[in-house]
Amino acid sequence: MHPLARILAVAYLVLAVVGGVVLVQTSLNYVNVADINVNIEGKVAVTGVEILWNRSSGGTPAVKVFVNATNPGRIAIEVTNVDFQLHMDDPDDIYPWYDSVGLELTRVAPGGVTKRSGQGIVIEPGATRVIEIIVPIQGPDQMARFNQSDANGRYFPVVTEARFVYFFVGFVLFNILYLPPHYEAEGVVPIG
Amino acid sequence: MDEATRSLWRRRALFFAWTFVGAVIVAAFFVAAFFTRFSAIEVGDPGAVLLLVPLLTGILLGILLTDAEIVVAAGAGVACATIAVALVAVFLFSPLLAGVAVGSNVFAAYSISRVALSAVVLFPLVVVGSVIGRGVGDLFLPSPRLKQQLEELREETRRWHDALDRLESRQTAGREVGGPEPPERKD
Repeated sequence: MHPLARILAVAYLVLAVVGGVVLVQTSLNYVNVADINVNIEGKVAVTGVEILWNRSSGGTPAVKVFVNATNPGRIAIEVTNVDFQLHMDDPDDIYPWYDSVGLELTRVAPGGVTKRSGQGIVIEPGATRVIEIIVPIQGPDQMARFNQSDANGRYFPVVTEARFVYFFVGFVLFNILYLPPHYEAEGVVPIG
Repeated sequence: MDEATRSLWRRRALFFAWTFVGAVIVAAFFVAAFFTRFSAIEVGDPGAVLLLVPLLTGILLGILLTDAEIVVAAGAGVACATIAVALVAVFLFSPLLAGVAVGSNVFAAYSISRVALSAVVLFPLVVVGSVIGRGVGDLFLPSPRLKQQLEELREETRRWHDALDRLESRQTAGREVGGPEPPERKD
């Protein structure tokens, strides 16, 4: 082999070693990302709603929504955005809580949390985080739709159109998960 | 196993080794450029990488196979591109192979279309590159063995020329001393 061809052969082998590492690492990244995207379905949900309202002090109410998220994969994820629509089911109306016409009538306010990429809520592999989102009730229109309790003073909040946006830590790659609606069938008594 | 057979197998093994190594390079850079979001390295301009790396790898492969016939270099290019496409397919189906995803029509359509695209991009570039590399190697980087073979061939040609010259001069001398003319050919 010509001396210059020998040098090229060495460069060729070095390039192949680098290429092999890149190929394996890229494949692992693809597998890890696909793993989370496939298995996160059902691992993120709105799990509860609390109403913070001290009526005696005359303060405005606020609704705290709990979103439970478990990272099922082998790489960390960063939650940058959770948003939803908050409704308050009227127990006296004719519509069931999931009825689309009824939902239009009971829509109270949008809620959510948005963070920049890099400043979001990091969930390590296998870990579970509870994300708390507070929705303040502002103005007479929202208050009118919010204040729909039954005879026992219980409220029946509904969370719909919930969206969960997460980035894969170390990648410029994100996914959006649409969460199932949540209804507090037992009713919620205001705290405070 | 005699020396000739051993040498033949050594050459074959080298051919497959260079081809496989080339395929790893081509597949790795194709995947890194085409699927930058998953890539472990940053490739500056994906388009340039997609076009230049297969061509340059083919040229290197051709140079490394300078001792072989040009058909062998072209065949190595085809084999290299085939293995590279297979490696790209393994990458695309890796979630399925790893058991983390279930096959669906959307997934299959996405993966198969990317494999087909890789075949369309890689085959012509690698094959053309390997043939060009073989030519470059032949012209500028011949191996000492090839050089020796060429020298031996030249030497043999020179000997034949000398022998023909001697025969011609002997016939000319025979005609000058009045020897019989060689019979003319009928055709």
